[in-house]
Amino acid sequence: MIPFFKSQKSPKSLEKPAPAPPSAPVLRVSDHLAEKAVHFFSNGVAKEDAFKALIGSLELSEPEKAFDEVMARENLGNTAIAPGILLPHARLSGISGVRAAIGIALQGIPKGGEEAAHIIVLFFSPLENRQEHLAFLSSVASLFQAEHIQEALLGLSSPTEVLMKIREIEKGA
Amino acid sequence: MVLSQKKARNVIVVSTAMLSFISFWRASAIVLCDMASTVYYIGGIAEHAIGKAAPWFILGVMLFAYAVRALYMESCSLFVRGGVYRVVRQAEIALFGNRLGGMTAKLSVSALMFDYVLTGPISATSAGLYLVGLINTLLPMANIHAHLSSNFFAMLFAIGVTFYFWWENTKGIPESSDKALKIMIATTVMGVIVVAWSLLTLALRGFEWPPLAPVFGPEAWGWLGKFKGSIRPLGLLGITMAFGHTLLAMSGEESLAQVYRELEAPKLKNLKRTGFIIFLYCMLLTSLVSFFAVMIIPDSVRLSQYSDNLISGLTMYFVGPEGLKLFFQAFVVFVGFLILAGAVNTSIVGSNGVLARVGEDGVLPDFLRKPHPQYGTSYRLINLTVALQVITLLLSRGDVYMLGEAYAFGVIWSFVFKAMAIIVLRFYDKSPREYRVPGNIRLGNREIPLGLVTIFLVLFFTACVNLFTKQVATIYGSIFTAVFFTVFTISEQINKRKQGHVVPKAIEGLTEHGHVDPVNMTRVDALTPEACGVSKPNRFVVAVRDPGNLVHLKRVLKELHPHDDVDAIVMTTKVAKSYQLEGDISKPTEDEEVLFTQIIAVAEKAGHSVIPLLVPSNDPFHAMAQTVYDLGANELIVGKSGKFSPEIQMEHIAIAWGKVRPSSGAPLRIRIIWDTSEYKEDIR
Repeated sequence: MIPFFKSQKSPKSLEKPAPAPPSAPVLRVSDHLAEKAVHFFSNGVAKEDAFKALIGSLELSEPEKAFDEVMARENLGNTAIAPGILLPHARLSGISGVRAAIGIALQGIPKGGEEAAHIIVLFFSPLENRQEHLAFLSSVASLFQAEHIQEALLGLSSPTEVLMKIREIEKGA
Repeated sequence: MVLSQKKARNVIVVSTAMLSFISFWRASAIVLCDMASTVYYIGGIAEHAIGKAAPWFILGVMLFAYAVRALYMESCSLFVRGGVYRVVRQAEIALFGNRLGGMTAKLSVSALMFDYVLTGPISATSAGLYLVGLINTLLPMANIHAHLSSNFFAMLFAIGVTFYFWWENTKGIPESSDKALKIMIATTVMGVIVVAWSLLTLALRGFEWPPLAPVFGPEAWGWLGKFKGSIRPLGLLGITMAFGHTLLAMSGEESLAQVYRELEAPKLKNLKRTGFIIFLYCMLLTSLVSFFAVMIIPDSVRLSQYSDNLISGLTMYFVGPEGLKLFFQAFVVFVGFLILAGAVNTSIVGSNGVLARVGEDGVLPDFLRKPHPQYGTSYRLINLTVALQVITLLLSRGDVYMLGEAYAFGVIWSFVFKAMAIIVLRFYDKSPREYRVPGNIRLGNREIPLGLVTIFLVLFFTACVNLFTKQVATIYGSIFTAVFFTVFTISEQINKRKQGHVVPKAIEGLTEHGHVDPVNMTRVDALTPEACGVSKPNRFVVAVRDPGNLVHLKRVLKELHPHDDVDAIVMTTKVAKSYQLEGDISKPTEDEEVLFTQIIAVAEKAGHSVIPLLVPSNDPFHAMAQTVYDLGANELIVGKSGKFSPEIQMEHIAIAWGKVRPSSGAPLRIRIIWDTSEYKEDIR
């Protein structure tokens, strides 16, 4: 190997500093969840039925199309973000912001041979706003890094408690 | 499944591939430490051979050196590592395919090695001669009636200096460009004083111009002695003979190709600047000093007393008080010691670089290429070079004229091979070049590289004449070249039988033998900026995986300005199965070696330093996000995945980022770059 010469740049100040990313939307999951969009699933419900129930609570103008988009995304690759936590999603035209719903299944929802999902966070984001879509994905992933959040949510029994728990975690983080 | 973010991560930093780059001033200083050092001995050697006309021929060589420099600029515009070996090898492949098996390239590098092996001894011996000259001047003044044997003392001194630089190079010398710059500043001060004082002396005493016609000394005829009567000194053959005896004034050009690799961006522009500075400096210093020596030092003492230390002699014949002249002579000797010692170092560095390059093609035994276990340097190659230099010193016994004569063999023949190769590549390699040797004439739809051909013909004709006029050079140079060529050929055959794996040929930076840059891997248990040498305020991470797909790395490095205060971190993931990695993670796999070779090649070409990381993980997206977060970067650049669309790739990265960064939200810019397209998003 050729011995390397150390770089000794002349002491010249930067003419233009490298830009930090400009401000991007700070999305809290709890800001996009309504009580009516919190579901508790009983034993034996299929994944697709769970998705339909969650989509139904979002009052979208074209729920069938939304379901098709979510399933199309599911077919492209696993949307699990952690063991037992599913994050199905899609981007839709005609919606103004992120629309999210959360499903909690104590017994788990089978995923065709894979580990059952106990928590499903399903959401749609505007087709025109990829930044918001990515920010929400990131926020959900961050939310579920909180210790014991899965166990905590599985132990709750009302939508109000679920929302309060999520807000509490996001506020404390 | 992901690794817990709370565990310490085993991260391996590829330490010897952490490139750093230098400005054109430092590059000039490094090359000048070799080239400009000839001012100390060329005058005496040339006049010994061709008489008082030496300064005219030295001037001619310096002017011609600018043309030879153009050869190196064109070869560097073709290849980042555009030294003789690489260029000649490519030309041979273009003309003959693999039929000659690299014969011409091996021959050319054998000749070049002769150049490098002799540079050290001639420089160190010359420094010793200047020192002993000063001591012998001072001894009588101190009433000590002793006289040191010049040649013997110079030989011992040279051996000592060589060993010193052997050890420094074995340890690795991180500060060479700093030292080179300081040496050249001191040399410039010395040069300016010499020139000014010489002009004053000439103005006060008057002068005569040196004659134009060379008068060849008895040894200068070589095997052409019987034709003395029929060769006119200013005829074509006479001029070529004289030119050949002075040619070693432009030794050191090969350092330009070696140093190009280290040059910061914009590379070719800086190379042109370097070339011009070197040309101007050498032309002014080397040729002027040789003129002044002939015009000021009386004929009766110039060769008899000062042929080995001409500048010292020059100072003794300046106008002015003796004490001041003696003091300046001491300064001249001190500067000479610095620059000539610098040339010894450059010769070791240069030959090391050439042998390393040759070794990458499997032309050297593998055991020679192993890095030092502690310092990471190619210490066995260094040992080989230094051993040859010490043998040369013992054989020469301090005779700088003999060394100078032999030296010219390697210098001229490596230039001849280079010029020949560049001409061939002009016709066979139509890839665009940022620089071409000027003097190209269009005849119909063909372009004739008249400038190139002229340079080649001058070099070739001179080399052929030198074969007859420089007996020592021809005999020892031929033996040395033959021995090295044999060693290269045998090693190549042995390595071919040992090699098993096939490496794709079409990847930039790799030879057909699939060489890799040997690297030292340093394991760190926590990924912190300090551990990885990340210190600049702005940082970005480039994730790489496929050595054939580094478009994104090339693009971002190209976007950087020369003085941007940015750390470019290039990471690849060492994929683990479940939670454990198998095997010794401190040893790179073949694929990883290939990848690092490519990263180094891309960084060299761009002229920007990078910090390569190897991060073990079982989730590449998590590894990327964690690396960005732990190193405080604000941008992640990836290439397009073969598995996912860019949208889904972004989603995976966003999810991974959400998992590693605190909920308060550190922002991240993600760029997915491929071909001419890019996806860019900011997330928080």
